[in-house]
Amino acid sequence: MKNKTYDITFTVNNKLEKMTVEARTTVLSLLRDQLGLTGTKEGCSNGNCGACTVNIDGYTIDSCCVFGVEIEGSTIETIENFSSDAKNLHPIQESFLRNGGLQCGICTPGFILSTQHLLKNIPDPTEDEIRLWLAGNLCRCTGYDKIILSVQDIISSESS
Amino acid sequence: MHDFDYIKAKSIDQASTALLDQPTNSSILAGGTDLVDQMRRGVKTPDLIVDIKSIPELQRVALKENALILGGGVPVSRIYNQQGILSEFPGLETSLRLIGSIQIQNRATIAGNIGNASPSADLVPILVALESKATIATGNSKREIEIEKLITEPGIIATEPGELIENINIPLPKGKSTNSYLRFTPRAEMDIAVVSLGVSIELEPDATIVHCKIALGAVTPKPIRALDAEQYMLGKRLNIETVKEAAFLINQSAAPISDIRASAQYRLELLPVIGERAIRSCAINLGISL
Ligand SMILES: Cc1cc2nc3c(=O)[nH]c(=O)nc-3n(C[C@H](O)[C@H](O)[C@H](O)COP(=O)(O)OP(=O)(O)OC[C@H]3O[C@@H](n4cnc5c(N)ncnc54)[C@H](O)[C@@H]3O)c2cc1C
Ligand code: FES
Ligand code: FES
Repeated sequence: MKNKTYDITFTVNNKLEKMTVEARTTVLSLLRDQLGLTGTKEGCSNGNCGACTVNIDGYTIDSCCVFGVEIEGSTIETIENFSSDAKNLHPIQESFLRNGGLQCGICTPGFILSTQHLLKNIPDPTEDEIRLWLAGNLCRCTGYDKIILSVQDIISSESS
Repeated sequence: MHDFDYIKAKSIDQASTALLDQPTNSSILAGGTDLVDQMRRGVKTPDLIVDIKSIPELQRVALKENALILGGGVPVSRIYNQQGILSEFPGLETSLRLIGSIQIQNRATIAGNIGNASPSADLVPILVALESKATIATGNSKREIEIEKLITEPGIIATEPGELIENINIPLPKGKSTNSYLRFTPRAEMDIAVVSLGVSIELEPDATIVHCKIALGAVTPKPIRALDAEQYMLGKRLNIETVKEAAFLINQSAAPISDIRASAQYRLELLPVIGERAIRSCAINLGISL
């Protein structure tokens, strides 16, 4: 049987996209498999690890838990909207690099999206607030301390 | 994942009609933080999902003179981000901020937490303690039901095909009153309650308890109130003896099971401790030192 499909229009990283999806296609799979935006990662596929974090209409969400058909008309930001130029990184990327806030890097796109969302809502967070806002992102490599340090360092370099 | 049809409903009527057309195998979709994973694991295999997030009535958040109205489709972070709306409901605010992570809170709804009907759902005990009701709607009817009665067993709520939770209606506490919610989890974040407890309390000026509701989570298959403890507290002064005795009586209402997260015995050890702390935090909210 041919699966029913749905036409959707949305904006990803300031670019208007029109595409046809099955209802069961998640936003994660749509970004990676149909749009080739493979910066967004798949970890657990059930909402626990945050590797698939993207920003939809100003809010971070786990893209593995949202269907593509739900995002009709939405504005999405993924890690590809930051910088791919090593000499001119976004301040959050730069700070993670400088402070050893990543090793294998699988979790990093998610952490960067969550950090951006945190700093937009709380420009000068305490360590407890940083840990709380990043609790939905898991990292198997760094032990977290350097991630916390990376976030704190963005704040102090921006205020100096 | 299996294949299915999808409808983004624009009105209660449209959602209700779509659900009635496919009564045995359709499912309402709110934030999807429970449903999508259940579908991925094949636990649920609806042929049709009806997305209710674009229905205007379900997006309503309003503080009225005597009640707080929270639309069924509003993500919990949109509720606690509204300045002042939860000032009478510290216990509810605690529970909303406990659900999963920020990413989950940006998506998860109250109606979904109730609709999923997990015994460890964090919003249910405090909503029950606050005597909240759900407005259940179809295209041409509306009825109200207490949250306590709406959830009938794990995973099951007492709605008919075509009905959906339009909003949750929480009476504003009266007089000198407050509320609190506490859960125990082995990890600080991203964990599921081993036991939990919501309490809502009203005092006379001299600290005599005139109104008290205590609801338990994760220790019975469906929401339950600690009636013995409530009864005991009525008419007593809120002091340390009252709190200790009430906390002890809470276990009379619990019938926990042993599962992967904790033994029944351990839950019964924890519950009075959580109960005492939750009631103490009400006292702190009211400026009473015990
Ligand atoms: C990583 C992770 C962590 C979590 N942590 C917690 C936690 O700490 N505490 C906790 O309590 N929960 C937790 N959850 C579970 C979940 O996030 C909550 O239960 C949430 O409130 C569900 O809301 P939703 O809108 O996503 O529901 P959905 O998944 O959309 O729906 C859940 C159920 O409710 C039904 N439903 C939805 N809306 C309505 C309506 N308007 N009328 C009738 N039925 C409806 C659906 O048909 C479905 O059966 C967690 C989930 C994940 C993935
Ligand atoms: S892949 Fe989405 S949260 Fe882990
Ligand atoms: S850097 Fe490897 S998982 Fe975080």
